[in-house]
Amino acid sequence: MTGVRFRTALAAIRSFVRVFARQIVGDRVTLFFLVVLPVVVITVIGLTFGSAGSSFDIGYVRTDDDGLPGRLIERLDDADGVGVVAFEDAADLRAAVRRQTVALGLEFADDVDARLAAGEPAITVVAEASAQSAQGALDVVRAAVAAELGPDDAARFAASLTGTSFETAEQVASTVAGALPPLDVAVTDVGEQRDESLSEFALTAPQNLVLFVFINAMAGGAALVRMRRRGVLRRVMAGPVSATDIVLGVTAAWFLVSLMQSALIMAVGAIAFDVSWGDPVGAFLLAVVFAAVGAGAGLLVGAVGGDEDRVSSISPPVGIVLGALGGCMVPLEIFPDAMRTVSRFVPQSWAMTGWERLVFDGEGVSAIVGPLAVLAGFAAVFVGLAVVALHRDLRSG
Amino acid sequence: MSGTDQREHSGAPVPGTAPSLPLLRCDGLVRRFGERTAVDGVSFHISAGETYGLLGPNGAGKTTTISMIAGILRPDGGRVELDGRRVDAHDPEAKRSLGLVPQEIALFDDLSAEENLRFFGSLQGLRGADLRARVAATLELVGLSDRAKDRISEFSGGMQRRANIAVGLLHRPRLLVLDEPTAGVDPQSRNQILESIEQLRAEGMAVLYTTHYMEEAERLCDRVGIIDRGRIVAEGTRRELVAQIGEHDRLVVRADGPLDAFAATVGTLAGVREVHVGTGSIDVVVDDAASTLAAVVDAATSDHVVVTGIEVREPNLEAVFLHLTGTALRDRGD
Ligand SMILES: Nc1ncnc2c1ncn2[C@@H]1O[C@H](COP(=O)(O)OP(=O)(O)OP(=O)(O)O)[C@@H](O)[C@H]1O
Ligand SMILES: [Mg+2]
Repeated sequence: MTGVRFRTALAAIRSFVRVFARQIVGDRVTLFFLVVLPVVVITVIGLTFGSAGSSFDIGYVRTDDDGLPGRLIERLDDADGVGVVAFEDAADLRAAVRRQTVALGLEFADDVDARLAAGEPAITVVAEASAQSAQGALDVVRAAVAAELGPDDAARFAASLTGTSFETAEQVASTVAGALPPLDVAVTDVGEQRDESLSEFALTAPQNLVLFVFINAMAGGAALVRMRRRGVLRRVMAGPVSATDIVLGVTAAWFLVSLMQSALIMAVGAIAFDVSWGDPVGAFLLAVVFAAVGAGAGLLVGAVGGDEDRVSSISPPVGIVLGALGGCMVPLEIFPDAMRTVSRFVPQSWAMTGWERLVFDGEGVSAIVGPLAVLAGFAAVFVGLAVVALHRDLRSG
Repeated sequence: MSGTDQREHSGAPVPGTAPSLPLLRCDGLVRRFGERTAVDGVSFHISAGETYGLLGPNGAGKTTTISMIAGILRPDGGRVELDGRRVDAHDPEAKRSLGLVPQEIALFDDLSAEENLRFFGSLQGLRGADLRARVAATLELVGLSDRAKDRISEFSGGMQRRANIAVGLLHRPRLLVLDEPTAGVDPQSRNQILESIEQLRAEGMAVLYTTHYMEEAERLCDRVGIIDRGRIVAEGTRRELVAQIGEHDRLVVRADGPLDAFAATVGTLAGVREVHVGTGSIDVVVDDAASTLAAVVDAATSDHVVVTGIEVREPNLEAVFLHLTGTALRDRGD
């Protein structure tokens, strides 16, 4: 009896997986959104980002000091091809530098002018030493400091560099030192274990992975709405399967489609664009749990949606907004505090935090346990609500 | 043509099922939607190999009854037994002997007929060569073999109906439940559908057939239940139903010769209830027109009467329905 039930449930899962796969392969539009678009977007954004050497942003920790810091920022802002971005605190700034959202970061001491007068380090330059744009940005900052302070005071300008390896940081620092003698250089190694530089694609690939997996999974809910509307699900119920088998089958099918899309994006990223997804176990777990979140969202939309066209047209904008809130468009570290609080209610932000730790910080599974747990919670809530809604729908006639 | 006219089923009997048990038994089924009671104490049974028609107007509760039989809707009262096994949410296995053809085209319209059949077949536990063979045979039966690879969305309405039926038949259920399978199709497709059902019936499959077309119920069904406002108001063979309202078949025989003598002879025949002599014709009230007709013609020959024409008047289910409910069957057109 239990054996028969188990086999029927398996048959249901297999049948739904096969039929969804068949529907996707047969539908060019879906196939395009699922496979072609993410790859194209990663390519285009990666190439744009990679060739942005001629113009870049310099980040700084927000300050009220309208002495040297204020004048320096103004001067940098006026420079051609240079933008300035304010950050709330040093941690955000460093995160942005690491993911190369900004080419370079400036941290000002509390009383810059007094420290300069006393010959103490007053400004810390945070740079990703291996980044191509860091060198150019450093030149611009050096020129601005020199123009503000005059050559003598500029000599007391202290740079603190963060980098992938102690040697490269030191090398960049000594270039600066050579240009501004005598320069007091403090090199800070913030302890990254990553030993290779990030490709330009690596920066946007996780964002696109999270963005597209969610959008497509949600839009996939339209297929479920269609099955409900056309009575296919109810008809399945007339066979030797229980409502639970059906829900299991549909959920499994959705999950596998999401997982396959994740695998595809990750494989294309790794093979064609040299993207490193970080610790393999961590990357696998994160991809699996987020695929479950996407599948849950798709199921939920499919279970409560009344109109398949509305579901498929509303999913991309909603997915984009959620993606933006979750850090898939602009990185979380440049969000103001309030926005960042809001973003914690969006699963994408947890996925992005996970990928940041794996890809940018080079950390392992232990560093993403929190995000994994939160994402698993999101998946459980979505799937749970969808199951209740589906059961109710199947039983209402 | 009666409820006792049972045919052997080709499938193996289910172990533990006494042969005397009906294949389907519905007992006091009740289903409410909010304030409205859609099905209000429906009971009937179908024996193996029997064709039972549920005849009723729009909104009578036909689909709701069928949904409870198929385990899709949970009854608010009463029970359904298939093969002696209660149909409920916890025992989906009970539904193995049932094939459902819903009123709507419940198919994936972006997949081919064959792919649809494979999907539903695999849910029934069919696999591999067995599944392939069943798919091919079923498409053949409903006349869609040459369109097997075409998408359902490219089918005509009638072809979609036939594909819809094919899914219900695929696993060779002992009971096929069809919910208005001919709604909205042209006469040719309708005939094709009715012929396939007649063929299945001849092979011994029991059929539950809902319709609001009287002709279909009369043509296909061994017994008919007339359902109105959620209740079965009458049940039986067509003849039983007609008799129940005091109506009988009539033969109007136009003839030349000694009509009084002829009428007297006819009056002695078995199954003849009354004979009236008119001018140039006699009017015979009989139990069953078909079985009495030959005897009447024989009587004419022996009485030297020349028959110039015979008109058979069989009161139909429409009359029964009108009598029982006070309304005509609504929405009889396409
Ligand atoms: N899901 C539902 N929610 C609310 N009311 C319903 C639902 N399904 C059916 N009903 C109501 O129950 C009654 C019986 O409907 P049902 O569909 O069983 O009729 P039917 O005999 O199949 O009619 P038709 O010939 O039009 O198909 C109708 O009044 C209908 O409005
Ligand atoms: Mg109906």
